[in-house]
Amino acid sequence: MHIKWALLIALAILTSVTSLFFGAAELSASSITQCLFQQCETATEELIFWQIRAPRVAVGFLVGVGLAIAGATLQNVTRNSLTDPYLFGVVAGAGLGASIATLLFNDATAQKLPFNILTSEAAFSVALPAAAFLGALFAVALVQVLVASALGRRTEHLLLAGVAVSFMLGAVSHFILFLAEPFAANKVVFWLMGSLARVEAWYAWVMLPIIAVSLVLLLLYGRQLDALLLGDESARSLGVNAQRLRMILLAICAALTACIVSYCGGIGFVGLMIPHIVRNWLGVTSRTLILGCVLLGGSFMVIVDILARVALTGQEIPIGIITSAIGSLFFFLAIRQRGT
Amino acid sequence: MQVESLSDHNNLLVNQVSLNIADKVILDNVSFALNRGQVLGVLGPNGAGKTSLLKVLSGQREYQGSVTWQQQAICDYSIQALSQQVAVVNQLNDMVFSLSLQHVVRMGLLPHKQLLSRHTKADDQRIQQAIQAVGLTDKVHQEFSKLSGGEQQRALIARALVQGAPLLILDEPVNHLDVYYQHQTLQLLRDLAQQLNVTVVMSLHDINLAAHYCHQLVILDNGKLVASGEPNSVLQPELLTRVFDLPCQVELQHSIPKVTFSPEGKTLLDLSRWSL
Repeated sequence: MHIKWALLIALAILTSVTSLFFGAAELSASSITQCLFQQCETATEELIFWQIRAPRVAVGFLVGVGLAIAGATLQNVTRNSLTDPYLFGVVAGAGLGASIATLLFNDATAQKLPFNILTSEAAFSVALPAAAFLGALFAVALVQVLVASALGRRTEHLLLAGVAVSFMLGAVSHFILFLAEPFAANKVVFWLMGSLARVEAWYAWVMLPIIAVSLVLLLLYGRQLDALLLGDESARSLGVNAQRLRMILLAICAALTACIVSYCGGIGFVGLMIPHIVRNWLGVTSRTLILGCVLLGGSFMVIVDILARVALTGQEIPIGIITSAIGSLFFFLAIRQRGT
Repeated sequence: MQVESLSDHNNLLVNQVSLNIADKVILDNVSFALNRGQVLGVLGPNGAGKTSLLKVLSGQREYQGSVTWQQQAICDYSIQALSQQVAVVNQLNDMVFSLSLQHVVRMGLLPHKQLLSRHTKADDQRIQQAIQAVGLTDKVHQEFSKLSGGEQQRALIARALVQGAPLLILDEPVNHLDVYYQHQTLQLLRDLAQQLNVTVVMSLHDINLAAHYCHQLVILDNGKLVASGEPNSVLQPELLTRVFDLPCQVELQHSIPKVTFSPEGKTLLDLSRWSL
């Protein structure tokens, strides 16, 4: 067991450091080592290293952590191993919130509205994740209502409700983007597939506290999260208010997803795949699961980001294409495994 | 019925409890009382309201009337406070993800843990002892959902032991067990009552097992309580014949009533035009 944890930690460090050596700008291995352990040689190198390379690795890692722990939590809450923020509609909800914010802050639109104050950069940087959070909460609530009212509590229904909400909100947000900008295609691709290409250093400082607080909460609620696996009635007889806990946990998932989607777009299947692997390899109890997801999710994302940068010379592949390609294969395998 | 004999010693008081679900009467004006350290068997045909009664007692269903435990209404306990007082072994539900037996038993600690409290050596010992008490020591690390029905049932009883609540409610705790473990489990519950003063309420199908291991019995029929008291007084042939719709005889063996149903052996199916 200890060996497995040590391996995971080693993997996380190794991938993160390796990732520093890849990027569009020419930066020799020796100057990177120098930047890492001492001072950078030139100001340009320092700029590239600390403003582009390092933030990108950090944000990539954080995105992986956030998606994986959100996925693990969603899976425990819904008692269903085939769900993640993407399939559950949370990503689409966050995307919708973010597109509405983008629309409101669009210069042309803003001039028509009475509240010009919203056009400032600073207001936008607060409003974007906030709107994404509201959108994510809306999606979660919608799925819950659909499942509770019309469809019953079967696993298949939950999945269908999630996928339906995902498509619906996705369509709305793409339409909004299409209306707002004549050249919306770029933005739609961004929300659909996600990308780490435009990462800036301050993204990490916004994401870090949100992800860290969520992580601490999830670890604290670990025992309760386990009890949810027994079903609501059993959880209740063990002193867990299942309904309230579910609300709290879904809100945490919404916050995690929103801060990721706001800055890096919709990245799918990480939250499905990583918890699955961790459960099989490390164990199913929540605290083990979540810590495992932190290490493996972060490492996985950093590796995928390296692939995104080196697979094609001269241009980057949106990272979501790679995660979806790997993830959909994985999804297929998971369904097959379930069937047998 | 016994309500007039209520006193301070009565720990579980059920007074005029009714439950309706969508205009259907599930429980109709049920009242009884139970002393601390007693084992109560709830008997009755399928659909008589046994499970519903147990859910009301464990605070899992809304109801009309009053249920008090230790002089406090069940509905006035907070969820966590109730979980320290009442342990529940429900009929088996499906288990997702491969939790091991140990994980499931360990969840019995939850009512006693705050968000920040740590898992201690004493906790481990408690879990180990509970698993030992139900004879599953060699299966500790096995996946819960791959255990046999009887083993799962015993694991849930072990979880209730870890939970350490003074009121233990079990829904048909022996229906998945073979004869040996039926007796083993019921004796264990009886020991809990006698040695640790735990109050046990359980539904049972086997009337003779109930007569053997329970101090008190109640019989439900169509949501109504039709009899309650000690096995000797409750198990009357006329009543049982009426409730279970089968002729029966009751004889005393070592002063414990033994009930024998004698179905008339009438053919139920007309298979004369059916061929295999």
